[in-house]
Amino acid sequence: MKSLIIKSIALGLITIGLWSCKKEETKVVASSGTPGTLKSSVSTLVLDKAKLNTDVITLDLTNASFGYQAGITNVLQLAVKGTDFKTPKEVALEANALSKVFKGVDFNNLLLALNLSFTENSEIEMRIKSSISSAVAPVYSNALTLSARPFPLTTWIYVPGAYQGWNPQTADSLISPTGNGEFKGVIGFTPGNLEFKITPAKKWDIAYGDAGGGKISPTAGDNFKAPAAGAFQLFVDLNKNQIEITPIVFALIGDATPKGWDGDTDMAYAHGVWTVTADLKIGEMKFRQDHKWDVNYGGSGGTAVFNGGNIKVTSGGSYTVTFDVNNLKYTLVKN
Amino acid sequence: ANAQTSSLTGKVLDETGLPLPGASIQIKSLNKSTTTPATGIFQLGGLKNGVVIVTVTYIGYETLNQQVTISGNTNVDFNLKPDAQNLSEVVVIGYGTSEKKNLTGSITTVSAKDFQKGAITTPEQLIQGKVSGVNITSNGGAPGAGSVIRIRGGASLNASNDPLIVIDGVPLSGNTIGNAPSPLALINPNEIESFTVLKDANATAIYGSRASNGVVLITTKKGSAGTPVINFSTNNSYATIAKKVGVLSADQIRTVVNDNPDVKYDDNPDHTFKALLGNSNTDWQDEIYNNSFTTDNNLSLSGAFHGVPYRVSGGYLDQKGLLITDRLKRATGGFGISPKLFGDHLKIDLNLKGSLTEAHFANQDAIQNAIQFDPTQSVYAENKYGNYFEWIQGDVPNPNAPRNPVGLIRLKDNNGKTERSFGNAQFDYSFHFLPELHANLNLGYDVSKGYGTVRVPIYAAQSAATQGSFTRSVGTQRNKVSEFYLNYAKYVESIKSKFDVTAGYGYYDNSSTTYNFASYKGTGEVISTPTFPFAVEREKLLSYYGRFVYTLADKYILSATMRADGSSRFAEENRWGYFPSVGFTWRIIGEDFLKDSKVLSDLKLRLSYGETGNKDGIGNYNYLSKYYSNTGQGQYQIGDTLYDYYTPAAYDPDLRWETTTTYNAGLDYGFFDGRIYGGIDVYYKKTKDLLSTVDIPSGTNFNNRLLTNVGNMDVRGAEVNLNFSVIKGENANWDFGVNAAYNKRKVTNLSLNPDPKFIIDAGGITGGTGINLKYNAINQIPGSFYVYKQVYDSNDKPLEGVYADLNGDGIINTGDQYFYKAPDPKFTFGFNTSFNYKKWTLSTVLRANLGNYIYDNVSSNFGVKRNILSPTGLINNATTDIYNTNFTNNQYLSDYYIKNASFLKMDNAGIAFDAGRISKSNNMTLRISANCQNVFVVTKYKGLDPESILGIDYNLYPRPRTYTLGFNVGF
Amino acid sequence: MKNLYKVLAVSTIVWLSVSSCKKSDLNLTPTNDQIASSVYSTPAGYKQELVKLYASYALTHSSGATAESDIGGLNPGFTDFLRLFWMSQELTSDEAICSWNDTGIPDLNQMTWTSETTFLRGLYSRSIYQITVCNEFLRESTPEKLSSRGISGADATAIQKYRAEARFLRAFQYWVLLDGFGNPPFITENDVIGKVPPKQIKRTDLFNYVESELKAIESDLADAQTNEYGRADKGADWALLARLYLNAEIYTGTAKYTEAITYSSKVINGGYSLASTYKNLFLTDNNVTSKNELILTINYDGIHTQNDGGTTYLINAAINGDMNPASFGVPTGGWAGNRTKNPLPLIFGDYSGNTDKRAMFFGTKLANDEMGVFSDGLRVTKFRNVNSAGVPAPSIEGKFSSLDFPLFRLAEQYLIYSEAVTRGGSGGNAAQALTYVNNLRERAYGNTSGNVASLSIPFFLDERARELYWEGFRRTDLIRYGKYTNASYVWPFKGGAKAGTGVSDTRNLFPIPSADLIANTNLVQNAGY
Repeated sequence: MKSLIIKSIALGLITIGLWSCKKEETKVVASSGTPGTLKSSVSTLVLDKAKLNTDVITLDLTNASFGYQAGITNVLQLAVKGTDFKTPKEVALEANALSKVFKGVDFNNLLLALNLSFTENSEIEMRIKSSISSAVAPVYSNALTLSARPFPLTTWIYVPGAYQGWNPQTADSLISPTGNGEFKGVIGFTPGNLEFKITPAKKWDIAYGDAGGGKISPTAGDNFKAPAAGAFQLFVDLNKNQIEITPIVFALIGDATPKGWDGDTDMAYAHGVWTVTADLKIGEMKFRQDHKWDVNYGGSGGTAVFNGGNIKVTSGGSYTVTFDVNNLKYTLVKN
Repeated sequence: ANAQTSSLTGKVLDETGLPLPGASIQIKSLNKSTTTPATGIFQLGGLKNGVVIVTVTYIGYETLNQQVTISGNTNVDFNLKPDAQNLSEVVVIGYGTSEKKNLTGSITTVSAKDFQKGAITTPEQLIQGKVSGVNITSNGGAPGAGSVIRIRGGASLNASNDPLIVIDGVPLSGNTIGNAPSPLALINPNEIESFTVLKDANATAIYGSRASNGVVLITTKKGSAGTPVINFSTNNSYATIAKKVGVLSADQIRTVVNDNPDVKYDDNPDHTFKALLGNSNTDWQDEIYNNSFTTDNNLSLSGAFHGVPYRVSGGYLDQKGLLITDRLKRATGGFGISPKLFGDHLKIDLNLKGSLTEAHFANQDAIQNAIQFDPTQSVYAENKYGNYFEWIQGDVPNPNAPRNPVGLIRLKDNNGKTERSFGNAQFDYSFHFLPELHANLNLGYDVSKGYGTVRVPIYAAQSAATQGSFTRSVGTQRNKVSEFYLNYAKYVESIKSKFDVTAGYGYYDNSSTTYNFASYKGTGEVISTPTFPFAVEREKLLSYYGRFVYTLADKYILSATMRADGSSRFAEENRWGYFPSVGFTWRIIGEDFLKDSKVLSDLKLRLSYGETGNKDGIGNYNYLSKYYSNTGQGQYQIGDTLYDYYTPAAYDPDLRWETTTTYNAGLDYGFFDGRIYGGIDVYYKKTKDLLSTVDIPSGTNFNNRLLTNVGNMDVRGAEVNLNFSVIKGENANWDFGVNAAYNKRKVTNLSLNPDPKFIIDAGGITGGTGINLKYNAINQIPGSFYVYKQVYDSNDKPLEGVYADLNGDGIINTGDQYFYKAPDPKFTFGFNTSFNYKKWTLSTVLRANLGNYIYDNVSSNFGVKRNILSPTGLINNATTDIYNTNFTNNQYLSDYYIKNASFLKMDNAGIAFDAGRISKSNNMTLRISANCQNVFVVTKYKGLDPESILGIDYNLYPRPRTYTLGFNVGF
Repeated sequence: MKNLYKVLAVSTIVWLSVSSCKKSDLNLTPTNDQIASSVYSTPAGYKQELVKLYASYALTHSSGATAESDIGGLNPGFTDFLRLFWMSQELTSDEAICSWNDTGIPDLNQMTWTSETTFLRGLYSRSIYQITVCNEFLRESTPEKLSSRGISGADATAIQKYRAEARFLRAFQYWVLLDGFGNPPFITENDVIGKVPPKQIKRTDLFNYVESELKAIESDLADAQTNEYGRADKGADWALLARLYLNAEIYTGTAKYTEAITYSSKVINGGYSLASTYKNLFLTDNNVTSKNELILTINYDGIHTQNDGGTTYLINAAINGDMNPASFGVPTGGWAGNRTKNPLPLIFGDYSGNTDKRAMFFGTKLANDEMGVFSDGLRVTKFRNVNSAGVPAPSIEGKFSSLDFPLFRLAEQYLIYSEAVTRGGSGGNAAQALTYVNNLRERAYGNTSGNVASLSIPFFLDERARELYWEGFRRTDLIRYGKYTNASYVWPFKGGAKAGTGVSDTRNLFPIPSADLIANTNLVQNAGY
């Protein structure tokens, strides 16, 4: 009787002791992860302008699994075949999305970013990177190979005018980097030669003229006219048939330049390049647009950098300074 | 002989035939009573001839009701039988008493001999672990810290869950004063005779509006007739720190710093963490804690003066806390007399008690700062902050840094003083022409006044922003109680029926006044001045109550109670609440078929139903539309003038009682002559019209949240207790008792428009700003944790910031939080045993909670790398939990930090030597005892202490392990 | 027997004395609080209660920066109007990011908020609270109430003006809701305090209501620049109308640029003029140095108007210990929270402050690599608790600010006028528009070197960033330009991606907070949530 009691007390205490020793839960454990799979609707893809707004490729995926209901971030990686995804281009996918459809324009941009040839197909690889956290190694799906060719999207229009003898072949151009119909460029007008027209190609068969009120028209006969001699920036929107002409100037500024950091030494524009001859001192300088710091360039070794460090001038004297804003190149040549 | 002068003489004998001195002999119908003197022979004179019922009672013996025919000088002896289960014990119930065997409600009594032993400084700790379904959790180890008492888990959300406490018939107001942690804190535990806990509605409903969370009746010690007895007791104890929070050592911190040379806090290359390291090895917890002594001395004198019993007592407690400088001094005094007048028709009980406390409060902010403070720094350094090392930013103490823990304590002088007096006068008049009819008047008061001053010197870093500070506080309380009831009890032999009817009236007036003072910088410049010199909070309650008990054949007992309460906290239309209850008891043991059972010695079935209310824990004037004034910090400038103005307050004119309906079924049993006895109860409580603060439609009031009556909550539970007298003999006795309870609370609705999605925050954490951890939601335990599901790696380490996507949308955001566990224990157990051999007694008390969970806020806040290498340019310490998580940033809402806090604690282990009378020549008695409290804790929880009321472990003042040596001398 | 009588007598007396408590004794009232009729008993009382309406713009609670708040459900320090409005306008845009990890802040930084996000709920609750107290004022100041309280003559006339201001303050908060939440619950002084859930108003209807209110009160308001400092006048009324009309197309689908020109012109011709120095607008003596540019301010006082939001928040959250908090007039401050997302300095080009002096930044790293690292991104030093001489304003605890915040200033009206002209509204002219823009740029550059020769619509989105950054305009501006949600313009952490990605257009509106949706079944959630 007595021992029974003692035993049951002991048993009770042990039970309590054990019960208090575990946390009631089913722990969620992440496995190292099983990758998902990736399928493509096409194996070859040649893009052109006509496909800009159509769906050109559909990618289907199955989700990776980490052994629990996870919030997985899926990223599509693209890389040139053989580079082993060293420097992939990445596109984040929506949460829980099991397919991704690309329009021509978007996929073309991806391909352009891989610097592929415009003239022949290149092999690229695609895969899905799935991760649950930066602390846990991601898993990758199978890599798909795609034979693809982008097309160049950048387009130009031309500005034949009095400043260059009205010759479309040699006229300066305006550029639309994405082919969206909005063109921009700088033209240097010489005194007395302020009139010009705009042609879509380097020929006269179509030419836009001034329709008044900032509008342009392929049927208008009037020439456009720059407000004055000098460099002007032209904005042309072929979607809305509008033109804007605003003055532009690049100038030198800095303690190496004649006016120091408090004044600009303006440059002259001709055919894509700004030029000035100036006496420079040992010191530093920058290029800036419109006497404002909103747009300014520094740099070194002949390469200009937007908002970059000051350009060093290591010996004094008279220089010819050029600045090619389209290609971000500059030169300092002692006279 | 004259018919008036008959008498009854005789002896009262125990089971061995020896006389029992001190037994009580009553002839209730004649209102005559006496007690047996040391000789055992009593005499009751002035009787008429005829048949009377003589009632003989003696503690520990069954009450005897014996019919005696008086004829001249009659001599009768009475033989009493021992009562193993105390079934005849008289139990106090609301507005009256009852024999234990006739109870219809769920009621448990704990008397002095069963109290917890050792250094007990607040009364409620006396019954920790002693009563099933009653959880008493101390607020930590600070001197005089009170406890939270929960009976059956508590039935409210925003209203109070505290039980009603009634001392000698005087209900305490739930308010506390000044620095006192609980209304009980100022009462000397040594003055308490017994606790009675009323749990079900049949027992509590007579207290109506304040009874939803149970009632605790406390009876204090009274004088007794006979030769004066002097009793002196002294308990001297030594408190030690049982456990410290596990933090990194100085060398471990150095390692972390050296292993992370690349982590920077700003762009300056010279600003390395390495440069911030100090060369010391400081254990900050050792710096702020010390072992400490407490002495508690009590002297009492009781006896009778010209036949009037009296008792005078005084006590002095001087308790030092674990935290350096913490100290509480308390002097208490008590005086009571119990005269009887008009031939014993009028019994008066007068009790007066008073206490004076003076305390120095150590700055408890030091606790968390000691955990966080860089152990490589020394305590002292030459500087302008009193030469306590501090992290500096620019010219001021870094506002993002912890403060030097020792400086926090030493440079904050916080003193409090409280004076309290309470008492009551109870008049019980048994009518001359109808002795069965009693009128009882109880007048009570409870007044106290508290003062406090807090001073921080000009140079202290903790108040650098204000250049020191000086604040004062003064508050007073005035509570008045008057109650009157009539009681009529009659036994009608012919129909074997007993009727017991009570009807009464009560009036309660509680007010407290807070005085407002300016606060000053250490320089004496005023920081803020009060808008008003004082504010009075006042509450009144007016009540009518009644009880009817009908007992048939001593077997079937039906009891019904009713109370109507009118409270000043509600508008007239909603003011009155009506709280009925009914209970039925069947004493099965009294039936013929069990009469001769050898096995069963008691069997009783109890069924009850009742409604109770709640209005505590809310403001006094919430139903009124009112405008309150701005303060000097809330003015607004127009032109060149600063304006004061009034702001309309949100209010609910329809505020009304919260009501709880309770169903209870219980079974009391006893076997083998009471060697084994106990009880089982199951209950179901439903609360409706919960007083809760909830979101209301924006634009309908002057706040988007309002305290109103909304929602429902259920509580279900069961309680079992078992007492076993294993050995019962001349020289040796071994008893043990076990109690166990199951309790589950659940919110069933909370919003004005019932909506299963509704959740509302119910408690935040420390760290970040405004992060809520606990919520109330439908079908959840109140205050459940609402967290993210942590994902672990294959080595069982939590992955930082990786949580399960519970709603499957592929994104981890608040939609993935889920309810996981709650602070409430599912089961609670208490275990008591005592073994006695001759003059020696060994005893222990254990308690266990199962299924309670705790949030480790200490680790979630400090146990991350970002805390050690703080981007604000300083080094802090972390808890060792960082080695388990390796977290860089805080992951406050990970369920990783919700820990199982089930525990088994040995509260008390002690040995006592009762020398009894120590010399032939005089009556001196001596008892010596030695105790250890908080002996051990078995738990999986790694933090300081698994026991927590709110389920959030942060800044807990460690509960000490205490060794006590006590002497008790009687004369 | 005699004793019996004694006892009976005693008990009776005691019983009577005890039962002397009457039931009416249960009516208790608080010591220091008042009731409406006593608060509004005198003309001075009305003035005080008008001030209360203004004060609720500047405080979280009338007790100062305490643990109490007018708004429930979020940390009291968060419940300030300006702080919440600012977070909703700036953190969700390309101008600002906050390094704190408090629940909800990353959601604003990343535009991933939900209907649970506490800060949006806070703004919603704060605006509705302020509307509710304005309604209370309007209920208590009706002609009937005035005459019943014996207030007449000049006093009643003054109160008529107060009423117009109360309606302005209410209309402003309705504009906040119109702009942020679109379709909020709608309450006026005709809805009494109680439990009847308000109805929802459609965005277009709300636009019409705000417009009609602002027009209705115009004549009752004080003439521009004639009211006391800190009180609304006709200038503020026109300024809000102009702001409303500029965004009308977003609010209703119908553009109202002509009206925007009408009302911004009224302000411009209302006697205001630009402050001479841009940076002085955000220093504590702006009420002196920039008096003529300020149309309406929220007034703060580091001692008497204490608030953890307001300019205290703008200043402290924008700096940390490295930045010498004392030089910002908050020696114990520095909360290391808000800094720029990188587009903001880049919009300036030269963000050094050497050319365009409006660029007031600190730090070297533009990139926002880590959301939680305060030094990832330039800090903004625009707001300071010091005066134009650099002298710190009084500040209790070394953190509270005395800087008044311009809710409306003239520069915004210049930009509204010019943008509305450029967008084709009539009633103005392009030359004037160009002049106004160049007035601002000349102040910014200190000379004409920054002047522009022509205006285009896109120009204004950038110019408004340069002129008005961190003043609580950006979200609204980006939405007007269609750049807030879609992928045509992204910034760091937009949409939750470090590089930025588009989010659904439904995020042009904030969600109705779920707590109110549950509490008020009349409400329908905005699309997409």
